[in-house]
Amino acid sequence: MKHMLRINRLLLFSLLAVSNLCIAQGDSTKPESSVTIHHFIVNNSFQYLLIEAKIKVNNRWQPLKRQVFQLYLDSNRAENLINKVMTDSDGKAKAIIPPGLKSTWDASTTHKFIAVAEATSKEEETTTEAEITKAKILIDTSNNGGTRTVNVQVLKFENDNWIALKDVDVKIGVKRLGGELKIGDEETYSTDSLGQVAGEFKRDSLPGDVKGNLTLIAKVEDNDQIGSLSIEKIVPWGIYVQPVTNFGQRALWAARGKAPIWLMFMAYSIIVAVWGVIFYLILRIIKISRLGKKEEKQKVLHDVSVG
Amino acid sequence: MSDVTLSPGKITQDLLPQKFGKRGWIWTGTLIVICIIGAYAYSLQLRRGLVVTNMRDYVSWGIYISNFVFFVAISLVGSLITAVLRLANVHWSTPLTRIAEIIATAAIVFASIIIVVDMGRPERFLNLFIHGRLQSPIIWDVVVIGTYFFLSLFLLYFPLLPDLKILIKNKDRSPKWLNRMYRFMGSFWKGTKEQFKISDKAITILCITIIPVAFAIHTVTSWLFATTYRPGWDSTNFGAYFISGAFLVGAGGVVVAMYVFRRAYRLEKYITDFHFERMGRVVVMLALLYLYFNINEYLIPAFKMKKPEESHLTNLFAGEFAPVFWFAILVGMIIPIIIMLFRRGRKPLPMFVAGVMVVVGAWFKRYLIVTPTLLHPFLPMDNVPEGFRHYFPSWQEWAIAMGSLAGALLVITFFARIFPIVPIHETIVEDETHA
Repeated sequence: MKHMLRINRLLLFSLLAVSNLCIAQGDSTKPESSVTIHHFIVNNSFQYLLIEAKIKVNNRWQPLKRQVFQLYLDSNRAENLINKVMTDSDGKAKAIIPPGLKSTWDASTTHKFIAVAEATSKEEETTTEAEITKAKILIDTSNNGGTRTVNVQVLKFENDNWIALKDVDVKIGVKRLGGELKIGDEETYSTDSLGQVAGEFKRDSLPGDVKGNLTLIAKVEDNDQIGSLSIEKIVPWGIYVQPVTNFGQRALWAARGKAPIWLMFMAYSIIVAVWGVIFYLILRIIKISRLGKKEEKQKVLHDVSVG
Repeated sequence: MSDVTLSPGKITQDLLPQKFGKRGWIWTGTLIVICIIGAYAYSLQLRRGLVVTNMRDYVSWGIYISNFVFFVAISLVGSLITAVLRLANVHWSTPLTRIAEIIATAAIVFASIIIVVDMGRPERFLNLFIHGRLQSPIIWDVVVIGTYFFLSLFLLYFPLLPDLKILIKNKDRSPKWLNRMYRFMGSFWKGTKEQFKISDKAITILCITIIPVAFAIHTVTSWLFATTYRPGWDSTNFGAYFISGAFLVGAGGVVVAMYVFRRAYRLEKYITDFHFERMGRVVVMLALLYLYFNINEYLIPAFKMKKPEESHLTNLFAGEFAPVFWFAILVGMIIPIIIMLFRRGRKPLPMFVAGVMVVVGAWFKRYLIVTPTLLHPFLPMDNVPEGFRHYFPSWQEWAIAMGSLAGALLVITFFARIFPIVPIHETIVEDETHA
C-alpha cells in the first residue's frame, strides 16, 4: 500500500510537470501584445484618438503593424462606431471622433473608448478600453509692469458644472518650427486648487511671424483622468523680422532673366570673341574666293591678249 | 613619310580618294544596316516615348549620355593632333591631321545628335535656346559644342583647299557629281601666294582658338556632372580628369584609324612605322596621365570612404560594376601602357590592338562615370519597383547607341571615299622640304 501511494505521488508529480511544461510551451507560442488608447482634445473642440499597438517578439517590444481596430465610444454597438483603422509601420493609428457622435458625447460626463482588435489567423479578437472625464483647458495672458505671464486653467465637467482640477501637470511653451520652446525655466507647472497655473514668459527677442506674433501653447499630456488636452493663443510678443529674400535678385540659381552680371559679362565676352574669330574666318574664305576669281579673270585676259 | 623621296605625281596618285573595294562595300553596308536598325529603334522611341528605354526615375542618364561623353571626348583629338602639334611645329603628324579632324567633326556631330535622342520630347529642342538659362552648364555645353563644331569644320576645310584644286585637276578619277561638289567647294583656290598667306594665317588663328574651345567643351561636359552633388561626381578635379581621358581616347581612335586606312588604302609609304612609334609614345604618355587622374579620383574617396560614397565605391571595386570597372582600368589603360612602353609594342599591329583596347575601354569608362552614380543617391531608395534599382539598357538603347557609333564611322568612311584622307599638298610640300 505504501509502495502504491509512492507510485501515485510520482505519477501525480509527473503529470503536473508535463502539464506545466505544456502550458509554458503554449505561452511561448502566443506573443504578448499591448494596446494603448490616447485621447486628445485640441483647442477644446477638435478631438481624436491615437491607438498605439505593440507586440513582444524575442523579449523586445516592437510595433504591431497592419492591425485593424474598430473604435467605439462608450459601447461597442454599431451606432457608436468611431472608425475602423489600421496601424501603420510604427504600430499607430489615428481616428477623429465624428460629429455624428455629439449627442452621445454630450450625454455623459465620463466616456469610455473601446478598441476592438479584429481577429486574425494567429490572434483572437481582443478588446481594450480607456476611460476619461470630460475636461477643458483655458489660456490667457497678463502683463504686470512689463512682466508677461501666461495663465492656464484646467477644468473638468461634473454634475453639469465645470470644476477646477487640482494637481494636473501643464506644459506651457511657444510653438517653433519643429517643436515647442518652454516659456521659462520650468518644465511643467502644477495646477492649484483653482485649477490654475501661471508661468512667466521669459523669452524676449524671440522672432515671430511676419506680424511679430508668437503662438503660445499649453498642454496636458496623458493625464489618467482627462487624457491629453492642448490649447493655443496667438500673442504679439515676438519680434518682427524682415524676411531676407534674394528672390528676384541676380543669382546663379535665379530665373534666366536674372543671371549675374559677372557671368553674363564673362560668357558673352567669350562667345563674342570666339564667334568673332569664326566670322573672321568666313571673311577670310570670301577674301580667298575673291582673290581666286580675280586671278581667273586676269588669266582669261592674259590668254585673250596672248591669243 | 618614308625616307625615299617620291615625286609629286606619285604622291598625288597614291593619295587621291579610292573607290570602295569588296571589303569597303561590306564595311559600309554593315554600318548602314546598323544605322537603319538604330533609326528604327529611335522611331519606336519617338512613337512610344522614353519608356522603351530602361531609364527610370534614378538612372535618367543611361548609355545615351555615356555615348555623348564618349563622342565629346574623342572629338578632342582634332585639337590635339592638328592644333597642339602644329603649333608646337611637329611635322611628323602631318599625314594624321585630316584623320584626326574628320574623327573630331564626325564625333561632335553625333554628340549633338545623341543629346537630342536622349530628350523625351525632341520637338522641344528649340526651347533650350529660347528659354535656356545662362547659369546652367547645360546651356554652356550647347553653346560650346556648336562653336567647336564650326571650328572643327573650318580646321578640316582650310587645309583641304589646296587638295580640292588637285581633286578638280584629276577630275577623271571621280564621278561628275563629285567633281561638281569639288568645284563648288574650292574652284576659287588657285594656289596663289596671297591665298596661301591668308590660308596659313587662318589655320594658325584656328589652331590657337580651337585649343581653349576644346578644353572648354570637355570641361563643361565634366561640369554637367561635377556641379551636381552626388557620390562619384563631387570632384574639383573633374575637368582635368575628363580632358586627359579625352586626349587618350582621341589618340587611341587616331591609332586605330591610322592602321585601318594604311591597310585599306595601302598607305604604308605615308603612314609609316615611324608614325606609329611616335603616336605610341603620345598614347603612353596620355594613358599614364589618365591613370594618374583615375588613381586620384578613386583612391582618395576610397581612403576616406565617406558613408554616402561607400556603397558607390564598393559597388565599383567589388560589386555589380566591378567587372566593367576593372575591364576599363586594365584594358583601357594598364594593358595598352604595357604594350606600348616597349619599342616592339609600338609597331603597327600591336599599336592597333592597343588602340582598340583604349577606345573600347574608354567607352565603358564613360558608362561607369554616368550610371553607377545615379544608382547610388544620397537618400535611400525606398518603396520603388525593383527595376529602378538596376539598369541595363534596352535593345532600343543599344540599337540607337550602336547606330550613332556606326553613323560616326560612316561619316569618316564617306569622307575618306570623297576626300584625300592624307593631305596631298602638305605631303608634297613636306617631301620637297625634306628632299
